[in-house]
Amino acid sequence: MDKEKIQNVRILIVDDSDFSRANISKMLDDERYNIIGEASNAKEAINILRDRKAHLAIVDVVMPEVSGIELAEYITENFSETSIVMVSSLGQESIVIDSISAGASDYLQKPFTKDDLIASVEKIVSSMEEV
Amino acid sequence: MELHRSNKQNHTRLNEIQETFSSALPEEVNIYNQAHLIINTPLVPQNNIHKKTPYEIGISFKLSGDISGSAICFLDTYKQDIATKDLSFLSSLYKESMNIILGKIMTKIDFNSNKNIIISSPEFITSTEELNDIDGIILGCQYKLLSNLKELNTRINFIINK
Repeated sequence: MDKEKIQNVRILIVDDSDFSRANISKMLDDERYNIIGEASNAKEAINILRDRKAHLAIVDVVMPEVSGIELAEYITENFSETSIVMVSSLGQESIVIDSISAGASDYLQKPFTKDDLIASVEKIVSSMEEV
Repeated sequence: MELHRSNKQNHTRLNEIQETFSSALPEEVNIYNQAHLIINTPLVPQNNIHKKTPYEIGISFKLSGDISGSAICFLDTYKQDIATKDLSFLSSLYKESMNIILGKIMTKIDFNSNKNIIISSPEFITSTEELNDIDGIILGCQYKLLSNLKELNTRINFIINK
């Protein structure tokens, strides 16, 4: 993917683990993706999305209060321009299916490599006409 | 006679739980090339969980689904010279490491035994009070956490509701 297009891709990271957020952020930043914000829960994520448009949200499945799957449903209904990649340490088939049903375009089980993450992001972004 | 039957049922349940969890424990987990978890002792039944020492970082997860209970994890920093700024990073790394290994265990249990178990978000344990009067099957094992900073011992305990 060309560098100019990469810099236009606006990404939100949602994970209650500060280690995980920092790790994902570094992987994307190394490739010059545009990270528009980081949120540790669904409420923070929604506030950021109301304020700043995102092409992609990377969302952890297990979070306190509102789960990542519930957040994915909300994003799908209210921010249709935002695609979603779910991430989790859990890899059960039922959770992957629930995530896809909630509107996620892809699912990565932790710990994933930088190559896994970038491949997932590129696959989704390459189908976006707007970027 | 009833007591004998009850003891036998409890023993069978313990064996079943121990086998289910033991067969799902990974030998080694790479945590984003920033740390490795390596198994140190196998999963064995325990009568209780030793209290958290002032030198241990404690984290708990709730388990729900086909098997319910909790996972209690402690990272031992006794006699380790860790700077305050490194301790903050280590706590964060440890919390995510336990999240990852437990996620792997639950995923493997689902694959092996078709039992779906979900883990909650982790929470730091600040006191030892909640470890008293445990009513459930207790299993424990130990891993080594090898990070760029230190090599530390961690114990993982499962408390499974009867």
